[in-house]
Amino acid sequence: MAKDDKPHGPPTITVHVYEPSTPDPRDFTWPKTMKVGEAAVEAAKAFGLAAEDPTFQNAGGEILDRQKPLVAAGVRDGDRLELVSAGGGV
Amino acid sequence: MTVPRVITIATVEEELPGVKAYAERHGWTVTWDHEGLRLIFEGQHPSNHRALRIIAAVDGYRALPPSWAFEDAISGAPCRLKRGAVAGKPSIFHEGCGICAPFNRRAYKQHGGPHAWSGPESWLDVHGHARAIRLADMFALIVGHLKASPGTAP
Repeated sequence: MAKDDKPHGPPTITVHVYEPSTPDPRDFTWPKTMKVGEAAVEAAKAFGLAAEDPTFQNAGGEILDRQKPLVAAGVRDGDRLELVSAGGGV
Repeated sequence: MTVPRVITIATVEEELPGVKAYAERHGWTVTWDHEGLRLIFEGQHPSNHRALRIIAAVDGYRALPPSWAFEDAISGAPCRLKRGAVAGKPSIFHEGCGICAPFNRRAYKQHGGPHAWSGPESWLDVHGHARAIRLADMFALIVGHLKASPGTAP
């Protein structure tokens, strides 16, 4: 196999998304390069939420940057994410 | 605005399964003190690992937002959480009122905080800040900002 032909895995990731007020998660499959904010908007709609600037929080509690691609934000296949507001304090 | 105690209890208990499930996923315990109308979360600060208690006084909820406070879980003394940027946004933690967000009653001028906004009775209509309208969402945001906090201070 040539150096450039190394397998990189599938171009999508499947994650389990919780909306903190809803005990049961939903599964989503997104392109790895999809932005965190775009994926969070899609998840919010699926939960029936009109969320403002939604983003994800990972299992370690870290709130993810909406502008980063999922893979660059450290999201991996099978991760558990929480849907939260990206708004900051004042 | 007065909310009958029985309504507040019913509202909180309706939200409690989500609160407990989130807390369990993130390593916190939660106690519902329905006599005192308080939700009490206990865990550790992720930076200095000090035992931390986070208390939401929910009298008047959901006509009014909860009043959030932090305590050292060993001494019971009030403490504050140091600020750390979260995904490029400022921390919600604040030296004076604890949390500068519309979901904290103590953030409003009427309750000793720095913000006028439209008053705590309109907390569900305040936009453009860290927004959470259910108890589990509020606690999730607090945990997220705690993750970026460099520690506690008296």
